[in-house]
Amino acid sequence: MSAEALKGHLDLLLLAAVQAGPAHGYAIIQRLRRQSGGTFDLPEGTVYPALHRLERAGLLSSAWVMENGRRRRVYAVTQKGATALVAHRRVWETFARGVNAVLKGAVCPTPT
Amino acid sequence: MSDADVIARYLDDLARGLRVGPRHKTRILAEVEDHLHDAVRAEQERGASPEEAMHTAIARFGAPGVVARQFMADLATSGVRGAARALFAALVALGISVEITSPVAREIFGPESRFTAPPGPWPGDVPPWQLQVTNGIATLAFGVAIVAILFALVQTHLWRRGIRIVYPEVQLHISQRGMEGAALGAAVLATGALLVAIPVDALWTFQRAAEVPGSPTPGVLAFFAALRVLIFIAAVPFVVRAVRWAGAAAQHPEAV
Repeated sequence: MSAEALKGHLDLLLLAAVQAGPAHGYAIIQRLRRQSGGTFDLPEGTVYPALHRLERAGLLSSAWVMENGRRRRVYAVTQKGATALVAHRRVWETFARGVNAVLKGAVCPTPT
Repeated sequence: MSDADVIARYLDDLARGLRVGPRHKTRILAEVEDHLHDAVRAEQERGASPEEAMHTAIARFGAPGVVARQFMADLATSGVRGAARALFAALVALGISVEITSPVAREIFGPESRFTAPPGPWPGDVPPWQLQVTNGIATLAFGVAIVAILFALVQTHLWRRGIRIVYPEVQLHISQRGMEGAALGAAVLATGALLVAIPVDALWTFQRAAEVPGSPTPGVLAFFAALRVLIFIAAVPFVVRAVRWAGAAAQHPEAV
């Protein structure tokens, strides 16, 4: 999927990928690629600015961690990030359900 | 050229495009270097030669100029937000310092207070024209600053609502760039307005003190004038940083 198509959804995807467990940037990208079956094959350099942005917003935290003798910057979802992810996931599911219904010519049930 | 040399050259190119503090830059470069080493190793494990692995890792990461501008584009947004907040804080502090030295505050602190201005002795409370001119300019400049700062704050507040995660992408892209530019313009305008308002207001307080018996001494007036200048100076670096970051990001081709 192109970077253009991902625009606006990258933050949500990154939050979800990091929520699976603390990880450094390269591992997060691999996780996104693996979980999406290769659909989200991002330009890798665009991920780090997004991770830094999410950290500035308080949705992720990060720390240097020694891993196999190497110093790595490891990211984790904060409480605020977890709450934001739940809210955004709900919005996304409603949005996706509506789009799918329209594309299939069906009628989407009105949200209660 | 060895892997280390190629990565070092890439990092040098990236560093040139990053207009951030040394600590921040070191962190970014360390993360990118780490990433490239991981990527090269993974490619080699898949059977690529060292040269192919390096070429693929760098190609997948993106051109250093594009990556640097992506960092700067994100920083520009938070820079404008920081500038708007700093200016708002400065405005509140200036407002308090102006109010506690006004004739109105004298009614609270009493006529013996050394820093409040006494009411003017003029008939109908209409001061001489020189005072009206300086007071008018200071009031107008403060008014422009207040409106511009509030505008910038509202713009930056809209970003904080997290709309970028769920908004339709093209609309968001245009809307965010527009909001960012408008807020930055407002912050710069507010800075200019305060640059006029603070010295003219200080001039007015000295002019007024010369006309009104029982006014604070020049030393007290100078203290408050200096305090207001310091409040302003504290906010200026935030605006300068926002402009610098926005300038570095201005040629950013695309933002994800």
